[in-house]
Amino acid sequence: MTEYSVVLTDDAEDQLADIWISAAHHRREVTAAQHSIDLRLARDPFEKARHVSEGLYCTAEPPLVVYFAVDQSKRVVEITDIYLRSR
Amino acid sequence: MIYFDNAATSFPKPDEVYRAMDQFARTSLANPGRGGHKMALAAEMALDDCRHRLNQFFHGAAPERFVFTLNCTDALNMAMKGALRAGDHVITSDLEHNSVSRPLRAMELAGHISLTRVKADSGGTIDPDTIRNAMSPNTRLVALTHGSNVLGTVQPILEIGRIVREGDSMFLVDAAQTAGVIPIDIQAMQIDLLAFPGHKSLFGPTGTGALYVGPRAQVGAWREGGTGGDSASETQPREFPYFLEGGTPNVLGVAGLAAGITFVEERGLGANHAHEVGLIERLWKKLEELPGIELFGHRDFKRRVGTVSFRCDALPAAEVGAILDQAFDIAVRPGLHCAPYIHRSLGTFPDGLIRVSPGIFSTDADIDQLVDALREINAG
Repeated sequence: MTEYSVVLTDDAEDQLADIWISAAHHRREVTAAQHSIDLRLARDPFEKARHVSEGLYCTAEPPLVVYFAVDQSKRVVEITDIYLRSR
Repeated sequence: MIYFDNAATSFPKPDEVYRAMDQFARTSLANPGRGGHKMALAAEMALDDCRHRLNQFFHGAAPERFVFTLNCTDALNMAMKGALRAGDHVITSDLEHNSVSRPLRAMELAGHISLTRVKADSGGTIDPDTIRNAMSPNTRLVALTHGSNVLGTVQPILEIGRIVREGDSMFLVDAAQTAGVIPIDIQAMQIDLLAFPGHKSLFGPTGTGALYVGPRAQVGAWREGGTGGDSASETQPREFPYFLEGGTPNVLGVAGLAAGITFVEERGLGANHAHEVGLIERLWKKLEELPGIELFGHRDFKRRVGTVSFRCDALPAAEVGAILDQAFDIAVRPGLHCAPYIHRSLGTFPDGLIRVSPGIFSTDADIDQLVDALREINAG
């Protein structure tokens, strides 16, 4: 089965950059979570995902939560928003 | 006004709660999950974040197992009416609030379930062995309060949870008086269903509460309707929390609740408990010196929350409450406290007792003012 391509919107890229800058004391956790989410979304975006609203899904890998949409025909996962959960 | 009715709802709320709600209401008060725009997502993130906080706070199995409700009564109804089937046996106690007693009694009267109501001892504590002895092969649910809203006595739910699990029943805990002030570890205490308000010792606004539904618990859909995602499904999506969360949630209240949880975590449950219990211990000792006052519940303050109930020989509870309010500007709760069974057991039915429940913002001076007022009332 072909993997999904995972892309970030500009907003999501900015959010991730802000999180990384502000998370000085747990950058390693943020990086590891992002990596883990990328792998999971590429393999199967619906694994451990919640359907939040029409066409929008959410998945978490502490401390990150990402919101994303899936284009099945193009096999693309688009991450639209990322946020850092409270500790 | 000196406010001693924190067992009903905490007041005032911490400033952080007011500020968080004001900011949220002005910037992010959209409908969570009903659209992918920025404001809807901000609202969705507020819910997600609070669920995550609750899961950490109570050590649940997963954030999505926390379902937001209107209050603790709502959560208890969802748990009991959702979990019980015809022919089930249920064990409860005489300490319970009507939010537990009434739904169970109604189901019993309808012939839907059989019910055993165990009695607390004279100090206001349930002996775990009474639960063990009441268990039968068809016991599906044990529904108990963690802290009596009349006596303030804390129940041994760790021991009871173990007994319930041995019997393969479900354990429902009503944490109305303890969530935020006594540590609750869902997994260690083997709790299957935990109902709690957001507006008492967690310092959220009224209109907030939650039900934790553990992996062993099977409950039916409650309030069916829109959930945002999966609109094509003809019935309620089975996925938690949406299965139990039809309709627009009180996201503004949840934003306040999250700020309340932060406040509790920063101060520490132990500090809040010590403060409230210190105040009731002070009150207890001073009331013991007044003639014609009878105090109820055991004296082991470590096993209590910040609630004391007493009777005043000079006047019925309702009159004492009214005088304290009108002549002294002190708010207490007289009467039966929505818990008639324990008042029958105590012999205080139907007049009830005067309940005093100070909060974390109450002071020694407030307690002393109440005692002075009671001394005056007592003297006629």
